[in-house]
Amino acid sequence: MPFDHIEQISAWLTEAGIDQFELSGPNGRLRLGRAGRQHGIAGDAAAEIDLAEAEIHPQHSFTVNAPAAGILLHRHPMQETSLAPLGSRIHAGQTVALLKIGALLLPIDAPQDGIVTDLLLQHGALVGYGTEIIELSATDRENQNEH
Amino acid sequence: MIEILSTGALATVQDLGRKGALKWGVGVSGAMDDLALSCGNVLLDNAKDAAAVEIQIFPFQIRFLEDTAFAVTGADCSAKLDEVMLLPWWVHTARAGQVLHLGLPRRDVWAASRAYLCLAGGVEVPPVLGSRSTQLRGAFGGLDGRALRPGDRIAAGNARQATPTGFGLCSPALAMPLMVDGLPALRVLPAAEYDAYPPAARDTFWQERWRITPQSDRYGFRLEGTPLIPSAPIELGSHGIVPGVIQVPPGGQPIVQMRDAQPSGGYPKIGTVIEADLWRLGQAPIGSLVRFVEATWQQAVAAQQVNDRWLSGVRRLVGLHRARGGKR
Repeated sequence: MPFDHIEQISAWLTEAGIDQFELSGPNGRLRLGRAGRQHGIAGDAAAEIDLAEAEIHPQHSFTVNAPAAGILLHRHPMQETSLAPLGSRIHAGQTVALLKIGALLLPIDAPQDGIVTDLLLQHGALVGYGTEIIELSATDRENQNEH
Repeated sequence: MIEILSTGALATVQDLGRKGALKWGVGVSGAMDDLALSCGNVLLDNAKDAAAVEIQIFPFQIRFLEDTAFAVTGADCSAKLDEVMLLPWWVHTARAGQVLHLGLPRRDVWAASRAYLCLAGGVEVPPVLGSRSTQLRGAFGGLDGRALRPGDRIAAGNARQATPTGFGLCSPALAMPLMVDGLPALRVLPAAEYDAYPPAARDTFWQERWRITPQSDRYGFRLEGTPLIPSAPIELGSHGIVPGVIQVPPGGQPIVQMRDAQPSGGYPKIGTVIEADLWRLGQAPIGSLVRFVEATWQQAVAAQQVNDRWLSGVRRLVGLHRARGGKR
């Protein structure tokens, strides 16, 4: 198995905030992990891949990312009202969008409180793992003195 | 265990029906929207023959007497658990003491009229002649052979181990729409007395819109449209009929036999709504319009296979999701 693209893959994983990545093929298995977790390549080769931790910025705004590949829905297919319209106040854990995989619908939940500032993709858009779909401005205590 | 707090008439326990009992003159019963019931059971990892509560008059309110997973499928009736709005066609967790409220069906995208409250483990009532469906005419099956009343308590069967909640399904009405001229359509096989109707009456049957009158229920849907009059009066002895049969009484206004149809009748039969489309009609609200589309036997069988394949695809997808521990 060629490992030509590990650096690129690592960069993507870091960007997407993915902690673990595993790829299996007939000749081996590639497993990448973020620093502090298990990493290494199983198979005949053994290597250590270090992923740079994403630089941590104070979060004034944050995005909600797709948890898997699928079709992004801003509203339930049976309903006409959006789950998280622009400008709406969202609390942590609230379902802000759905991911449609065949007939299966999975919730996409907000990781923290916030106000929806941008819908980055259209209803019905095809998204991949980690795709940024909604931007929110944080409404936690540290950020309130901004206003 | 749940307790019924308030219910309109005719909320009943239903499963997929009491098949194979027509030979004793016992009707089939079962969910008017069998696909919605089946999807609820898939969401909860229930057995295929698990029973649920079919609700057709709203509002409807229950209290959960123990922690349980549940799903509400069928019509989207703005379900609320205490004060929290719930997504339709979704599997949720309720805590003991919480109240589930179902309101009037909203018809944003799909005009449907019946909701299914499915419980993890299925509604536990004793099977009679192989089914838990309520047989209202015979007053057996379901809960004491009758519709539910406030104060009734209904137990759930043993649920499989902690099944994940917090995900849903896209309804088959959206996945497999069937519309003609903007109206819900039903595929129909010409039946035994079809040829007794002159070409003009047959054209009326296929080309015109049929309104579902208020005299429509689980026994049969009385339709209203241009009267269908045979070339010559038809006299028939009483004979066996099944859900889906479209009878035409002397007035010419057709009646479609539904799940609680009696097993025999004597009116001429112009057609039969195919088994695969009965759920579509079962959800059509009173006052709404439907169209009939002519189908062949092969098309009817193929349509049932499409339904079955769609459902097994859904079961496989949900199984994969569950195998991953329900993680997102």
